Amino acid sequence: MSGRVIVVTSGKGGVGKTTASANIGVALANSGAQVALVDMDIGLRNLDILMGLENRVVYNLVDVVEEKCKLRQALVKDKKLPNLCLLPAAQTRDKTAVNAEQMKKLTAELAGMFDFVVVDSPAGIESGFQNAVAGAHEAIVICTPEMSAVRDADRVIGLLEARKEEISQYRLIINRIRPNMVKTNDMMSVEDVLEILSVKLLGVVPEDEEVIISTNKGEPLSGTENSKAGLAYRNIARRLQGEDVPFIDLDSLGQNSWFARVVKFFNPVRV
Amino acid sequence: MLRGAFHPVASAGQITGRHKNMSKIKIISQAEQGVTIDISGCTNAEEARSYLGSTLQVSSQFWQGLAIDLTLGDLSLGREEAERMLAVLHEVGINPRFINSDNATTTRALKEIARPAPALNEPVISRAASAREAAGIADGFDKPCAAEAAEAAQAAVAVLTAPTATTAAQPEPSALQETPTGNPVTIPVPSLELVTAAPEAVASPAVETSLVSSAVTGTVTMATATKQPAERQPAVMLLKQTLRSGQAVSHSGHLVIIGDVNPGAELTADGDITVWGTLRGMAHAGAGGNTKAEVRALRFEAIQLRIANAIARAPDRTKLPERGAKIPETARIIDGKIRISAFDPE
Repeated sequence: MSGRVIVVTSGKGGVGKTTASANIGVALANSGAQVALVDMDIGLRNLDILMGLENRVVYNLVDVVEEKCKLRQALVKDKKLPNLCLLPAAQTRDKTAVNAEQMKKLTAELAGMFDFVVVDSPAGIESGFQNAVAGAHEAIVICTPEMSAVRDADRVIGLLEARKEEISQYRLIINRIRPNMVKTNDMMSVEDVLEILSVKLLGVVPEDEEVIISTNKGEPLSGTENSKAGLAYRNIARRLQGEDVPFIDLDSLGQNSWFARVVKFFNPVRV
Repeated sequence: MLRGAFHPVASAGQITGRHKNMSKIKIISQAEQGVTIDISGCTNAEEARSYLGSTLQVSSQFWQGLAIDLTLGDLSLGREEAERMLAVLHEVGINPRFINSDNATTTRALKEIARPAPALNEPVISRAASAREAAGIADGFDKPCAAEAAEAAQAAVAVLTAPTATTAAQPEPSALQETPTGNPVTIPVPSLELVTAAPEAVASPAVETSLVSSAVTGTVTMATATKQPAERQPAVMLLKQTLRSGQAVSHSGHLVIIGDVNPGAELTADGDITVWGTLRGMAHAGAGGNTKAEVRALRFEAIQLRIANAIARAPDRTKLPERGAKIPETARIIDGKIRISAFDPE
């Protein structure tokens, strides 16, 4: 078995890399695939918190690289999904604890065990980023509809382009879009972002308060909640698996007409 | 996309910083035509091989997957020497499409290698030799015949008036006409339809650009050393790609970008800058002080523009940046200030 190694990256911090990694991982695992989530943000470990697994972490990625433990020992199994595993980052070390060669070896080993290896990259474009993308076959670039996030995404795409040999494709997720603000021209639209970045779109995730609630709960919302963002992440996972899923109609999201409310009452998922 | 998209006249000797004499090895990269490596400046096989070796190793990323021609000029190589030189190329993944030689000994050696060795994936044929064949001259040639052959070959080539890459690389173009037999001749090898015809841009000589394409950072830096006479048109560098944030290109001649220039990217040229796409980054035309330089773009959304010593910036934004006019525009200096107006070919 040789799985796909997908790195989730953005350049800018706080745009939702870790949230996206967790949700995509859960959504992929829900569809039956064997999924490993790798937290590459060494020193700023977060992914285990989002997954609600922080109390189960014994060994971490750096321990595996330094051969203090076996890879299987460090993998933390998800609470609900037996086919989803997390390889947590070390919290007491920093990103210089590993190098690109070690990461290549590690992701190759994981790819032999899982269908999907989702690597959560740290913010920035320094060694942490370079390590995270080292063994990846594909990349997902996360960006919010803000000028600064788009600028950083552009920079990251440039860096990914330079690694064409290893990274066969990179696609964009536009996160935290607010249809109402787009409508009043206070926020960049999906089209605005795509025009600058000229890159293939993987998904659009609307701003959703449920995301914060699910983070606190330690249960990524793509697994359970009937929320807008959860649906968006499930669609993204389906697209990653090669399905042709139409994008969510953002215009209907912003509307709160009586008709929209009636529809929502009877069919809360169809947003 | 980074490599192969650049079409500067590049001297790879500069990359190493070790070789001060840049005429020893020249890398001429042309649109759609691949790359010509010219080592005719080297005096012997040993020197040529060391230059080839060091240059190609340093920037091996750049070479892979490119169509590459090798110009040996008057360099005399025995069979073994030629084989060793090819080995240097194979080591970095280069399989030359053409080897262009004006030397009889070299030509013979190359033919010997090319014929019995099926190990070479692509035909390695001396152009000088194939030219003679095309002109209907017997294969084994001696001195008096050679002159005739070259003449005949020239006649045959007359249809292909485009100068060869070698021509472009010569510091003095006139020197070419003075060497009757050594005239480099380009003839299409029948089995291959690719003919190297240098575009006019490259024919303007003596602008040597060193190109460092870093695959890791995606940053492209072009250090340029201009040796051209003042009356000559500066060479044009053509780039077919979207320039993203953090990427910088500078060139001593005119710069043409086919694609968008995104915010955070920087263009610098001594001549004009033309962007066939949307210019959102920073562009500095006439960087050497040429106030006549212009910046043109299909869509102007630049954050900042510089021409010679003048700087213009976009109006302060209060909300989201407004879209630029959807018409091609030109920026030039009028009365000491940068003015943008609708594109006017005059």
